[in-house]
Amino acid sequence: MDGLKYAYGELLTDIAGHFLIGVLIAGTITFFFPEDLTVWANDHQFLSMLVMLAAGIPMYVCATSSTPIAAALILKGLNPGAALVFLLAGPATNAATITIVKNVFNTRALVIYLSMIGACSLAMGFFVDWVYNFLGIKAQVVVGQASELIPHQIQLGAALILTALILYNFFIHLKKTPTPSHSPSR
Amino acid sequence: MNIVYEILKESWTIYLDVSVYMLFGFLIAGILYVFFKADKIKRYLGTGRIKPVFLAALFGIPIPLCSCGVVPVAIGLKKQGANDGAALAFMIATPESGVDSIAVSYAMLDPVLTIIRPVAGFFTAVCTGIAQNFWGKATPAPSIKETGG
Repeated sequence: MDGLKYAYGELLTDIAGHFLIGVLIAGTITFFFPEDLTVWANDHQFLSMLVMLAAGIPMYVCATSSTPIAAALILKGLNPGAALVFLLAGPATNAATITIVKNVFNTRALVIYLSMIGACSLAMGFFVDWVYNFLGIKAQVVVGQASELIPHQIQLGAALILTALILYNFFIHLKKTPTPSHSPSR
Repeated sequence: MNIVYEILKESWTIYLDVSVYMLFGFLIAGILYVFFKADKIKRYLGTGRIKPVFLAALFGIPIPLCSCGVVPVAIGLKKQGANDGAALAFMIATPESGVDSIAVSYAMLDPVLTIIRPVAGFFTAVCTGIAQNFWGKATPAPSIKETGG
């Protein structure tokens, strides 16, 4: 019971805002981006990964909210390797954690931290592109096409429940915000 | 106005696709929370350059915390005796994937990417932690200070 309260309360409050922003960004990408990045991404495999790395490192996205963004980019034809670079570098680092690593550890640790994340993300990106080529498949993502696995009614029900939970937590949160200090144990 | 409407419509369809998995992910997160508390992990992070890094990364992967939420936990681990590499590994593995993001990845991405995300997160965390333990300079345990974010 405790766990459920934590998950659908505290954790949901933490994630929901960023997640909704992620969904909005994904929606915007789907709407605005050029129909087809495929040609560009195929010609510039490494460059597209570097761009995603540069975008991902300072950005504050969590693992969940980066997913719809990556899905939207893949749908537009970005190579899955570059999308993975974003999925790895995006959540792991942001401007705040960079400062913290430097202060709590030291500059040397920060250099190791950033360069290893960069190198590993790029390596995994290349690996994923290689896997797709090797298997001869294209990355499949669902953005905006209702997936056929789950009936529409259930999707709608889940969306409504999720929305209700988010709103409920939002109002509870509004009510009791005398001190901005969350439980420091998080 | 039309553009805003179209964007909201796209976003709504994405939201529809993901909601079921989000609810499911939170359920798992709740179960994990009971059995798998971060403050219990510390006793498994003994001394050594490699083993604690592996363990820290392994523990971090399923825990659903964002990159700022993990900071106090990672600093706490360090304070309680985990070495720098293990603390860094935990700090990377935790936000890079969690049960909730795995559920959402399964909903929106294909199986290859769903599987590779936690694996790659683990790989990155372990490499960074080991590199820190071999090449970094050990730092004294910090006095906890409240970090924003």
